[in-house]
Amino acid sequence: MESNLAERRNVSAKNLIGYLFCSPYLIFTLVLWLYPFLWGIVISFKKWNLISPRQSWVWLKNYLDVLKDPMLWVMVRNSIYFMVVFTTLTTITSLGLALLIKQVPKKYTGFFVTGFLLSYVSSGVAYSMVFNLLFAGDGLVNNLLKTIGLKVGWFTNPKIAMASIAMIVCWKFTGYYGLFFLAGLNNIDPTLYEAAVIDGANAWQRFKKITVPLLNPTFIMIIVFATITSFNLFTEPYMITNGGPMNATRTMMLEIYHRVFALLQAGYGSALAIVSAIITFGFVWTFRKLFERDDLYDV
Amino acid sequence: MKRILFVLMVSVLVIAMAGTGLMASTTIEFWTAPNPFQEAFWSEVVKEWNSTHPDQQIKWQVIPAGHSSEEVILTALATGTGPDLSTNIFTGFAAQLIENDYLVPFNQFDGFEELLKARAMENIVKKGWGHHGNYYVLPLYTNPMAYWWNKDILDELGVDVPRTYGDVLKLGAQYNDPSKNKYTLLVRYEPAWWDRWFDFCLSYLANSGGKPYWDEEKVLFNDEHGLKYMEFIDQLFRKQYAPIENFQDPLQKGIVLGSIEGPWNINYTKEAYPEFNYVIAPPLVPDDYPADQPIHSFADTKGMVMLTKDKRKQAVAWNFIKWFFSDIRHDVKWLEMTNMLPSREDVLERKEFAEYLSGNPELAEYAKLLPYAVPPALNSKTIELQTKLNEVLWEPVIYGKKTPAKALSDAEKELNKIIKQ
Repeated sequence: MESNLAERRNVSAKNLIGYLFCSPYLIFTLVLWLYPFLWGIVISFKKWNLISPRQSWVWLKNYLDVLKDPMLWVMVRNSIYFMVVFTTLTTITSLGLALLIKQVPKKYTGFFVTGFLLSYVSSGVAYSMVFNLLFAGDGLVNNLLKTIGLKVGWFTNPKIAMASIAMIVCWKFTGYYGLFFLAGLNNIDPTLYEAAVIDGANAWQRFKKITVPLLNPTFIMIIVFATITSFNLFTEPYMITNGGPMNATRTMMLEIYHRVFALLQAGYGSALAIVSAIITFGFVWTFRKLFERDDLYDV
Repeated sequence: MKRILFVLMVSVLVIAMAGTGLMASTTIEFWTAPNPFQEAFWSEVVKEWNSTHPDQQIKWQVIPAGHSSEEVILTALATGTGPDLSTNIFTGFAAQLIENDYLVPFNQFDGFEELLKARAMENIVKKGWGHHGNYYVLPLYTNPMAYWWNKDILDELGVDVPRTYGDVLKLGAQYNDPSKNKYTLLVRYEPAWWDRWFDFCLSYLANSGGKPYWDEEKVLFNDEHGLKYMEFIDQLFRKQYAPIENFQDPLQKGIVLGSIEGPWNINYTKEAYPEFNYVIAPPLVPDDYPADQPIHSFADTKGMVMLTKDKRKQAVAWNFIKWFFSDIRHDVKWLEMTNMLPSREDVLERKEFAEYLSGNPELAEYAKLLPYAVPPALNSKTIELQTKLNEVLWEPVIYGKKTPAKALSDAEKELNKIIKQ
């Protein structure tokens, strides 16, 4: 009986130490995530201009205004357009990168991975300005295209402006997503390839029948991350196109920022943020349902 | 015992003095525009003030980086980290701040009227900067906007500086060649709300003889003046006389022949493109605009506001304002360091300015436009209105999605909805 009590005390002490170690993260989450999130929900039911102490309850009006605003569907369309281009491009480039790095001798892998990760850690504001100059009417890219008689309004043609933004974001994420693919590739049992070679499978068949199916969890993770990135897109359109031309690069994050900090519509902005979160969750959930497989290792 | 008594007396005196504020130094936060020339100017001015007023200190900084000063100031106010005194405030933004009870009216302070007279800005302030009988902003500078034309190419082509829309279209037919990056006129197509000041608002003022494009009650631009300008814009883009791609300094590089510019670009152009030869001209007008009538322009004009509610800080801020605005040396220095025209009625008359202007002929051209430079139309919803103007009028015409008449009519409806909200 006594030994049980001592054991329980011991467990409690261990738990307390565990909680103490976790507390910085828990406090951080409570203060900087949960509180703003709950406050955001409260504001979404209010009419508040952000700089005035006057706040009044309007309940669901902000949500109705958001849903009635045709701009919401323009932004959803833009995000889907971005998502399709970005996910396709980034999957190809980052998987290609991972496959290339896999061929590099192990002692050099770190060097290449770090090199490709640099784009991910560089400042969004800085590289947006650089790309804006590169893709300008008299920028390097158009000057090269001029030699074959072409000129492209990368950020001024409403039909391709979002695709241009997607290319820049792809440049940023290729190294980062490449790391996930590299980890996924390293997890595939090499004996599977050896058996396939013995069975006479060529490189393409091995890639299609072994690599792609076994990378399914990585593909799902990339799709989830890319979907969230698509609906959270802000820095690049903010710096380069400011939502234009003809609202072609207007995203929900840009609109939330504009509504709250330029037009002082904090209630509307918060309601749009909640709606945006729900839409993003809806897309992520649907993709997981459609593509996620849990029978990968079933025999 | 005597020593103890002495220490006690000194302590009591120190406490009493501190209590009455005699020894306390008051510091105010002062924000100015994020512009390198203005930064250099304010750095010197604040240094001079701080060295001569040890008990009334100013902690100065430029407005932190952001998409616009307005957004940064609003964010700072929302988080309680805003300044006590700030420059770079236009009338519409001031009205927005007034409605939210952030600004302090200057006319409540002693010496307000005398200050207006001392700086020769009584008419400017009372005609364009009042708000329901109070004055919350003191204008710092007035930049009339004007067209710059590439003189060398115009001379080569043997044509005069364009005055009307017809002149530009004729010039376009003679010169334009998009395949060689040769365009006639730069028209800003960016969706930033403030860009509409420098094209639609400016041109409406020019065509209408200075009539405002909206007021606090309704939109006024859906008339022949607005239509003539938007038809001109429509033609420019349909004929590709204006580039749709973005370029770095297209005028100075010879990609476009003309462009709307502010005087702040004079120094930059002189330094970056010393060979560039240009002519400064008033805004373009329709073909039937009388030749003997003066042409109005938009005035990019910003002022200083007081945001602190603390009486001690207000006193320091007002002392600084009086010291700054009542001394013409500061305006001369401002002109010399920033190349922007101070908001004074006597810029063209005072010898202090004449000397500088005679050595700076480009700025002197801008100074000639001062009497016809009109500040932004007053409305506290300026940012929202100009955002919508871009969405409903400007971009649909530029991209050929609507006729100018339809776009104007739609814009009138949409903007009136915002005004009446």
